[in-house]
Amino acid sequence: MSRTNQTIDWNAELESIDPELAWSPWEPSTKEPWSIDRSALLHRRAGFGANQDELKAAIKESPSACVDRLLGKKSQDSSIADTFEEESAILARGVLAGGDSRNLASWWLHRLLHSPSPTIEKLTLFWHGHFATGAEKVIDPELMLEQNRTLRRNALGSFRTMVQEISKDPAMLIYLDSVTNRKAHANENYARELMELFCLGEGNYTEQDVQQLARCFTGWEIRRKQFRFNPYQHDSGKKSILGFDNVDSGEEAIDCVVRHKATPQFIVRKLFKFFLCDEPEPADDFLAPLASAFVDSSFSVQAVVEKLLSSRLMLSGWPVGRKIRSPVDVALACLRGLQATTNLDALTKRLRPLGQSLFYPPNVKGWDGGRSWINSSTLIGRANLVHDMVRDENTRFGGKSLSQWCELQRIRSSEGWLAYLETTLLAKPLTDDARRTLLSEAESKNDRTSLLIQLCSLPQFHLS
Amino acid sequence: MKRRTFIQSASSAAGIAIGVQAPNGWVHAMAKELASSDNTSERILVVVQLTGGNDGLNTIVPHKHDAYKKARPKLKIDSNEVIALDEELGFHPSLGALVSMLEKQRLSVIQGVGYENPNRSHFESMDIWHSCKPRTSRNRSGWIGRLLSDAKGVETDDSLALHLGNEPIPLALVDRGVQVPSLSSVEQFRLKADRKQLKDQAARSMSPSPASNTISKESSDEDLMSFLSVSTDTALKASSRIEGMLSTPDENKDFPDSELGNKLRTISRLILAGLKTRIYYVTLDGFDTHANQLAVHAALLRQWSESLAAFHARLDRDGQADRVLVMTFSEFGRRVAENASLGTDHGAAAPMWLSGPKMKNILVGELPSLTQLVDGDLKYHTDFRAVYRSVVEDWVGWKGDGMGLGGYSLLPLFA
Amino acid sequence: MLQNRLHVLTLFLFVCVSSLVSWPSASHGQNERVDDDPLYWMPASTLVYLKLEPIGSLLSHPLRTRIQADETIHALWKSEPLKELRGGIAVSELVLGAKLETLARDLTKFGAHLCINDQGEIVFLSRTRSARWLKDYIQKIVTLARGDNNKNKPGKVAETTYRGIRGYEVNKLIVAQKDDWLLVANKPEIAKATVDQMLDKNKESLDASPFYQRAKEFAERFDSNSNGSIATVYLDLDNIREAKAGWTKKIFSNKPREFVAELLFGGLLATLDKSPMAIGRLALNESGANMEILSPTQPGWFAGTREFYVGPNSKGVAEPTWKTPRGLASLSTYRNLSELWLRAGDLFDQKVNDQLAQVDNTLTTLFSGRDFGTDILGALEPQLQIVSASQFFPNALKPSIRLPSFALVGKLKEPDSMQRDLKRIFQSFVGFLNVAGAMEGQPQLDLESEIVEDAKIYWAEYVVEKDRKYENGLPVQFNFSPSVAFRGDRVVVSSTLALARQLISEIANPIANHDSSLTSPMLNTSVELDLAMIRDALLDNRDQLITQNMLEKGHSKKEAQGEVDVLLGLMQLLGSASGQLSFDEQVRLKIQVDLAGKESVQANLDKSSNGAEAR
Repeated sequence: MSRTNQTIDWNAELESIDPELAWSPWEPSTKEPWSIDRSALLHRRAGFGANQDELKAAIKESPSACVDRLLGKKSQDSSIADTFEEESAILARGVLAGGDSRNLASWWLHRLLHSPSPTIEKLTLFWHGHFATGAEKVIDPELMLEQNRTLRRNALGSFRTMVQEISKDPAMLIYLDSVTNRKAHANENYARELMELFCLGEGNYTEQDVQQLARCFTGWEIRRKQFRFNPYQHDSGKKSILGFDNVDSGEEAIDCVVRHKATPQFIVRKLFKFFLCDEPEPADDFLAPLASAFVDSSFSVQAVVEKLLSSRLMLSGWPVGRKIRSPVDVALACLRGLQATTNLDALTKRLRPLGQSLFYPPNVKGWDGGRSWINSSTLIGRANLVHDMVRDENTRFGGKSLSQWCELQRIRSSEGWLAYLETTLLAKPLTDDARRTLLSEAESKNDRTSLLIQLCSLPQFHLS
Repeated sequence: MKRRTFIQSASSAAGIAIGVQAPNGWVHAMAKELASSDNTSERILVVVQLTGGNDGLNTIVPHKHDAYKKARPKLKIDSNEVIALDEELGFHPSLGALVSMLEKQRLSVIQGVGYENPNRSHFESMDIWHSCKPRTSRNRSGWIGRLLSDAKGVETDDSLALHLGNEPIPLALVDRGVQVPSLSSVEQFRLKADRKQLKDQAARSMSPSPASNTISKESSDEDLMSFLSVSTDTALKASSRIEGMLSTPDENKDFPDSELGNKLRTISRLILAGLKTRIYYVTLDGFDTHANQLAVHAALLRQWSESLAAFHARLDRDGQADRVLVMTFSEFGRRVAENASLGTDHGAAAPMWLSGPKMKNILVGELPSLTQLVDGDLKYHTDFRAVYRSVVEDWVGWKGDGMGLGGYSLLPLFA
Repeated sequence: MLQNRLHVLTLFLFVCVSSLVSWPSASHGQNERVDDDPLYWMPASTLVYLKLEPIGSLLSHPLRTRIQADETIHALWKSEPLKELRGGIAVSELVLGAKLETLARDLTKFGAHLCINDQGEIVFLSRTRSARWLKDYIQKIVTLARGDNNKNKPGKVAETTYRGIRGYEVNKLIVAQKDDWLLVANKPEIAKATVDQMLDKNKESLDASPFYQRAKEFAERFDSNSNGSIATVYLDLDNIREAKAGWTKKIFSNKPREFVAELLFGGLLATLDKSPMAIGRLALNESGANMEILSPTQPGWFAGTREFYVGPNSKGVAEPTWKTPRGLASLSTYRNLSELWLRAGDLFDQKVNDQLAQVDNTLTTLFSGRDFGTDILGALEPQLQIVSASQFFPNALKPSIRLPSFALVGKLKEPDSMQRDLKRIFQSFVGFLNVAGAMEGQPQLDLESEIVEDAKIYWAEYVVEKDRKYENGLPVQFNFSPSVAFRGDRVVVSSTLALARQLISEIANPIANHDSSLTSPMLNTSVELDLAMIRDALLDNRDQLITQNMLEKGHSKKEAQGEVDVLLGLMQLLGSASGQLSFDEQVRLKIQVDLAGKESVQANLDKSSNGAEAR
């Protein structure tokens, strides 16, 4: 049977899906056309959602062109990107002038909201959770911002380069106490996390490896906010790590760790969970094609991400509703979906009780995501976030009030409005029952805002 | 253990599939509780942290001791002022609100609590109290955090622990993979959207939508969806109960209008609203009384005692007094001798306080010697980790294995 | 339509607001028909009486002409951010069929009056252009309101006739007409009572009430040289305090007093608690607008608890304010801080006192064990001056946020011993900042001192790290070079060395500095603001304001620039402001806001456009 005719059933168990089929590129067919829903799924996962016009425009181009655009590969109108970068730079200067790391989140939210290549931002967020570094310990906003730029610069690049650069990143060095890693008394913190959390995962290294690796990093210091190698503090004795003998420098040691056989699986698994589904945990074999793409491209993140996003598994629609939106996703879906701008300082504060303060991950492991986002207080908080944001006097939709904007979008009825919201904001359509209830309430009021708030309080709004 | 495996074992044990993963120690405890399925019987722990180092000697006062009077010529509290407990000891006069708890034996003072090689830096000592370990760079986890890690995946509808306050989340509640919500006010539990049809919606959207677009088809696997529906339903119920509470007008009179009073008032509301959270954590700052201590310490103790008394009284009114324990601690006590600015400096051993349920003894452990001091400080005889372990195992009823406190023996605290 | 409703409201609002800033006509006091004086119509139970002069005179006031002639303002008015306001006004005018300006002029042709009685009932009376004009006008509003209600809900404009006078209920307000008088009331009772009185004039009215008689007499104490009164208000404090009606309770409820409120307003609150009445007046003059509030007072009211505010026998006098180059604001006040601190027990409730005990503990620790209330505050004479000035950064490397400097000037009781103590405290404070800052990677302070003639200055400066690039400008800390300076019995605590030096040299030269003609000898508090300088300080931080606007309003850079420039543009109009408070036989509070002179507006304009381009 030719594979091109095969499809992935929407409710197929992950174990039952053939990996080769899953990771082969998806092609539109009469049975599975390149539709608004597919484009919406792609925009939700590869970015932070999109409004209806963008979704419609996306299906006029090919799926791969759409992925290229989201990745920022396709040459775009450069003036848009330039304006965006210019505004972002102004905001960064302003935030740094204040000297308070707590204001950095507003700067990043501006990027998440306005970036013309959202996948880069989404991946930067992924790497922020992966190489989690908290400003509560680093304190200095310049260092946090610099790390964020490092993550963004390498977001799609080579994972090897990423690990090398992040290992010398001053914020990371402070966060994981590399600064106190001295010849006489090696601090194992960074060495351990490099293997456990950043590259290999538990069970793939020994305590011996941790100690040896820590010795390689001795003498890695920060002076005047810059990385500096201090040969006097470096333990240049013989070390062997993960079976590699005669390792001396930190750089060599990092390469040993990255080249370990567990690394590709570990990274690819995390990307799979980030882009495709929260659960269940995929088998190693299932991820093998992705892992080999990673290795074959000499650790190109872009190679894996492109394969994920344009795969049959992705665009068949199988992942729909299989992820729980992060708080940032919730806020950005509403804003991007409705062309809205808002008070970003207020948004930063509103995200905090929901468990996602940018630049302040809960611990070195980052955000667990999935079900851990959800409890009674965060659910009420999410509904209130949308309420507060939509009703904030500084929130504007395409520069207008919501009702004016709806007029411009030629949304004239509550049905039309609900249909718009379902397409742009919901992963799964409403039940007829739910739709009726929402409409019966909305029609008597003819109030666009309250229908939007109601919709965003529904359980399925949290699905991506 | 994989999630699905657990579902089976838990289902067979408790007859209820909660769809989550949990390690063994936890499973038994949870299974027992789930089987009883009466969630209002679960015991609750409220931790009150007095930040800055509370002066234990002027809280529970050895007013008859000459050594005390000599060390505190200006700050001593006289015998005729204290609320006498026995021949030797008395409460600070600002603790009047606690007298009725004392009479009912619902209050316990564990004296001489501390740890080996006391550290006199606020930050370091607090870190030790939170992490239960000497401060090294790798112990960025707290005792409650590890306790929850051990329980990881037990998805009750509400978060198992909750921090209330504007300060960053205390280290005690941190562990990798654990995310304890931090609320600044109960208002965050009030749903601002019109809830009218939401409640039906939560239930209704559980049933999957019929195939109505090209992607979604009828599905048997609505795992996340039903999880969200059930959680939303629970959240809405909790929220409306809390909202009901908020509209009760007499609430305000019960509690002093103070920082701690407001926090404990919020917690009482959450408990009475049936929230299934088991551990609450609050702090009260300002105990670093280096100068002019008398007035400020009296004010803080008044705030603490009045809030505590109001809290327990409020729960008692709804017959819930027996299921809520408040544990109060501070990162260290203060130097025995007063300083030249009418204050006291950082010290070591100090009392811990338990209140709420019926206690075995009012006084636990001896007052440390006022003459045999270590570097001018009281010497501890009870390790705070023994108190933690006893509270977790004997009160909350969880196995404390995950906290790594097995080496500390249980204390007989509760009646 | 909703919009119509808005327009009706806009109009009412416009009338009210305009009234408040209006200006008397030459016909002031020319009441041809004494019978028609609303003083005979307003109830004797009036607690608040507000008298407004005709708006027309305001509209032709030279100030307004000057504002209108200003090109900057003209440009601003046409700018993008004000588009909606312009549109709103245009539509209102279209609907009402006349310029809002004309409407306001006609509506208050012969002045207007508003009173609130002890029941919280409000009546507004205005003598309009003519009876015929008024009839048309009311008809228009009623039609509008009807149209409004028909559309959405089955609401109605209720219409009744009382003693031959027709009344309408529009938006919960009762609107009626008697001859050329417009009557608006919030309750039917007072509307009827007023009509009765207009027809019968047989009841006791405001004119005869002892309160008004006394207040009128008291009003003669208004500063005589500002005769351009446009609105006068009379408050019957005795009865406002006594009134059973709920609305006054809110004002006089026994809220726990806050420390800062007490520090700023304690003396005024004491007066408000005891005084039988207060009167206020708003007036325009050639240079700007001023407000004056008077209330009888007695030293006995402050004895004990509030003496810290006014001094013994209310004789506490503030020293003349210090002037510095580039000064933004200066405040000089008589206030015995030590006494306020020590009297806290009587003034505040338990909660505030608990907080103060906490602060006292912290401050006493900070001041190396010296008791804050007795030793530190007690070492100062009850004189306090606060001076703020904008900073000049001569080097290319500037802080990216440029904050003004500020300083406290105090007078020491025992200069010799206190100077040494304060110096030590300052040194340990700098040391503390360095240790705390080092832990957080913040820049370090370098301690210095100098002796200039008989003055000593101790200061600390942040150190610029040599091999650091500071691509984003210097951190915000570089706005500060904390300083303590002494000359004679004076102590200056300043955020910058530059300001400390300036103040020290001013102190050496008090006579040249203090222009006695500017300050009356008996002021308790005097505040002066240089609004043009404040605007310059804001302009200097234009980039920051734009960033802030972008983040807070979600604006694009262009939108943010537009809004910030409108704000800065409007501020160009303003020149300076001052406030004076004195306690004599009466409390007198005067506030004057002056527009910028013609030349300075132009100068500011040039500066701002240069500044904008330079960025």
